[in-house]
Amino acid sequence: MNTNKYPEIKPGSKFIKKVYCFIMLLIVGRAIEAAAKTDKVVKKEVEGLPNDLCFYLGVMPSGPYMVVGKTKEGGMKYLGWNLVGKKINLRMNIRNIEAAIQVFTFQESTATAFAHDRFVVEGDLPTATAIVRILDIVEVYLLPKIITKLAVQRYPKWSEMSPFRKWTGRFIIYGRALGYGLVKDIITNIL
Amino acid sequence: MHIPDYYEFFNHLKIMSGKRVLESIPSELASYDAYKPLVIADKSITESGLVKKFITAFADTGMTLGGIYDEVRDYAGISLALNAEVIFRERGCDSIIALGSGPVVDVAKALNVLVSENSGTLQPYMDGAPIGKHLKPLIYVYACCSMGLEATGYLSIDNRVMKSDFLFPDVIMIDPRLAPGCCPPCAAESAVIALDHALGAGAGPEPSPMLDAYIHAALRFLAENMKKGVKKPGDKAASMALANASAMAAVAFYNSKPGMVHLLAVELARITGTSAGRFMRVLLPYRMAYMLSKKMKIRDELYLALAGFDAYSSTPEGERTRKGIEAVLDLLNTTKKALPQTMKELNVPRHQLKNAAEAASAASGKFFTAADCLSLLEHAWEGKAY
Amino acid sequence: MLLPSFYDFCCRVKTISGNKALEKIPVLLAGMNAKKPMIVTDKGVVAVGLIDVIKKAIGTKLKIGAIFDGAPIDSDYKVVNAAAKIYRQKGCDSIIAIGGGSAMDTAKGINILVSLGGDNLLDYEGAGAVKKKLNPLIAIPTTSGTGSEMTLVAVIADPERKVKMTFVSYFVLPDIALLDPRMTKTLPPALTTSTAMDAMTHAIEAYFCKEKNPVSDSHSLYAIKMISDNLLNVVKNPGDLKGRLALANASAMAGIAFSNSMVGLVHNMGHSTGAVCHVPHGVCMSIFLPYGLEYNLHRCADVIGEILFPLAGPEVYAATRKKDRAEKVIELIRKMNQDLYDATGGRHPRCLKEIMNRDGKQAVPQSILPAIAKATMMDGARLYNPEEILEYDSLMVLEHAYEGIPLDRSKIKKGGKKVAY
Repeated sequence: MNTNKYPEIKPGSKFIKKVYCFIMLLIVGRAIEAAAKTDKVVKKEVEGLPNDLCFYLGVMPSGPYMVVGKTKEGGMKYLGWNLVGKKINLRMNIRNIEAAIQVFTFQESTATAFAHDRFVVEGDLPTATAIVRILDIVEVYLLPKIITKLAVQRYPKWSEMSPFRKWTGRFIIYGRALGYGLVKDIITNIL
Repeated sequence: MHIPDYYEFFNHLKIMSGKRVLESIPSELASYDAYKPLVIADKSITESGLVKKFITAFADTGMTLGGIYDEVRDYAGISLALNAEVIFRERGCDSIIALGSGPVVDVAKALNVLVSENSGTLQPYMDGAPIGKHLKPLIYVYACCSMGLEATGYLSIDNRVMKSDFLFPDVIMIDPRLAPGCCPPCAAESAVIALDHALGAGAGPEPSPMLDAYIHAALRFLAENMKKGVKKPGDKAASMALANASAMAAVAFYNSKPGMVHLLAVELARITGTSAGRFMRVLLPYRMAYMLSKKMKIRDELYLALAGFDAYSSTPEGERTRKGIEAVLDLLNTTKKALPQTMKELNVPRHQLKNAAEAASAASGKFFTAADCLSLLEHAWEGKAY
Repeated sequence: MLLPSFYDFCCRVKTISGNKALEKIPVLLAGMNAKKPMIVTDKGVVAVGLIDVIKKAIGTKLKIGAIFDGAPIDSDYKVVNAAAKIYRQKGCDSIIAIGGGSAMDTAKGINILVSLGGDNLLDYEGAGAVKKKLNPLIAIPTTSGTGSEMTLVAVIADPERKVKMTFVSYFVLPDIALLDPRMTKTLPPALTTSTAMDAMTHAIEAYFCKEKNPVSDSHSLYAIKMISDNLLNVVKNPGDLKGRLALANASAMAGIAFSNSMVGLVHNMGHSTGAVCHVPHGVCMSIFLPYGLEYNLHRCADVIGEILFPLAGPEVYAATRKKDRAEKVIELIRKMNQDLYDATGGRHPRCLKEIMNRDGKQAVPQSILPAIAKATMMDGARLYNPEEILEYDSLMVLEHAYEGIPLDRSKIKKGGKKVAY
């Protein structure tokens, strides 16, 4: 029989979706670093994390990634998008790019994504749980209420986070995340 | 609730159902250490272009599809599997994806035995040799409709059937992009098969609680979605629910003795060349009428599944059988416009009824007597009530 | 029946259930080409003579390669390594695991090691490390509760690093779960109640938590029904083999349900209390169960209301108005705990302050509640609960559970109306 009738197929790439996820991960990564300096709840969560923590959040099987590690001073530091040469001890993967798009376009909350088995976690599960909590708070700061409500289990009540705290936090975190450090991060990562 | 003195239950399937399920195929394959699947597909799927959606699911994964063998139509023959084997070996594939219904999955299962056992033929296994443990990973992607046996350990090829736990597909994927049916008859037939399998399994000897769990889910989905799903086969929500019902009914069917209607329908299908689902549609009402006339009871668990919590609770115990049978007949009536209603329309020669009855009785290991089977067929043929 | 926007379900364990199920072991092993099994169990199981029951049932048809009775309460990787050595020395080719959760975990760990090679389990740490079919493993539970005969996880501790490693893979699942009432007949009443309520919690939480799916749901449904029909009877008549078989079936089905749809607040609190105070898992479950329902009521009252059907039967279900059904479920669970408390002569605790340790002292003192609340933030079950759980929420629930009083509903922070499944 003629097997050429049934050729091998090399599937293509979803470039635009990858770029979108890449940008989101970059901003979220920078924002985690900023929030760890700004927000007292995040600060407290970070204190509870192991000191040698270096984790990535990424998309299976070939990225993009964001690597974040805990600093000696007890803060968080965005370490770029390259996995090479980093001592990563917690891997949080989203199963595929489509699932990542669901999460990053807020059609599916982080918790729902966990429930739908979109995440593959390698490493210490309690730490991963704490990181999800940090991500939730960062989302509250970064995004307007109407979107965040879709992404988190419960939007903070007044008693949990006052509008004053939210708005000052929002300005500072955006300032720190998108400021001078961003350019520096991009340059150091490319070089 | 009654728990049998002894029972066995087995379901190897992983069921994945819902949005963007196809995109999980690569990570599922990777969990079996498999990276190069051969796809067996229905010709109609490649012709309709659905296969493109399927291919994009593999984007960025680094996996290569070993090929898409799409010569399967509505007959599963060993020659197809042997051809596919050539491609499988030439390309160095390590896993199989079946994209379609009935015959596609049968060819995929047969191919899996051929490439895993290196036997060159299926003959020994058809004659009863056991299949060894390590078949290749097989993913079944539900498309359009179901013939009832895909999600089981049954393999039927060239009109011979074999059964083994190892023949189960490893994963069944039900994705809203592929699940909607092509036409009302197609959707109706697969719903009727699921209904018959679930009812048959529930009426068998000593059903176990695990079996009841699958039957419950299958019948609930059918009861809630059959009407809509048959009328509008393209409806996503209904077709997803019916696809789930098919998978669960198949598991239940695998774990119980085949019922009378199934056995007769399969025999008649063999004789006439018409598909078995159509015969089930015609025979099932007569089986129900027979049960009613003999004052046989429908088990509470079955009625619960057909009616739901609320209707069940408000029905007095003595009424449950009658109401249960009515519910089944109502469901069958939803297929009125889609499927033939009488044996005459299906062109069964009268003299073949006896052969079919005897063959069905033999296939059940004399669990159903030939006389009972024949009586059911004759009633159906003449269209007379019990 | 609810079809969620996405779900997956898998339970590849073959279930063998029956009053004479143990006699099938030789045939079952032969079917998997195994001839020389190693029995993995713990000292408690040996002490009540269950190994002898099995030996008698197997008879002379099968040679047992080795009996390893050293499974510790918290399974330990070094024990696994040592047992794997014995397995190899004696030339075994399969495992029969007999016991509760930890014996199962140990057996699963041994199976990974002996099937994949090597002599240190730590080499296989991390998700996705187990990608091959393992050797035959038969699991025979002796408690009707943990459901670990149906789960794809092996939790094994590394005491030096103070971490619990989880080995997750479909290949870790036992090949066969064998349910025989003779194995649970000797279980004392207090353990029967706590393990059965553990199973009840699995079934109920699986029914309303976020990863709910139709196959799990119907497993839950029958599990709840079998437990509520049989538990009190079995506590009063421990020799009731029919009831024991029903509970074993219920526990297995609840195990299937929760391992596929995950669990929420009750397990979150239960794991944390267990970890901080070393209290048996099942005891915590029965105490927290009504609180788990109350806490999530505003997010899924209709779903919780459906539980009334299997729990109380059609008459009560029909007689209760739709909007009252969820409340009725909570009421009945509280009543069930009270009934079990009475039937066991007070050995089935109703609230945290009633839990006693071996020396007769309070196992969960009030002062430790904040520490437990802190621990809940680190537990994965938090993510699958319909409502958000933060540290002060946990503390609020814990304070109520300590006293055994119903939750003050005004203190629950409501994050939304309905949960999206």
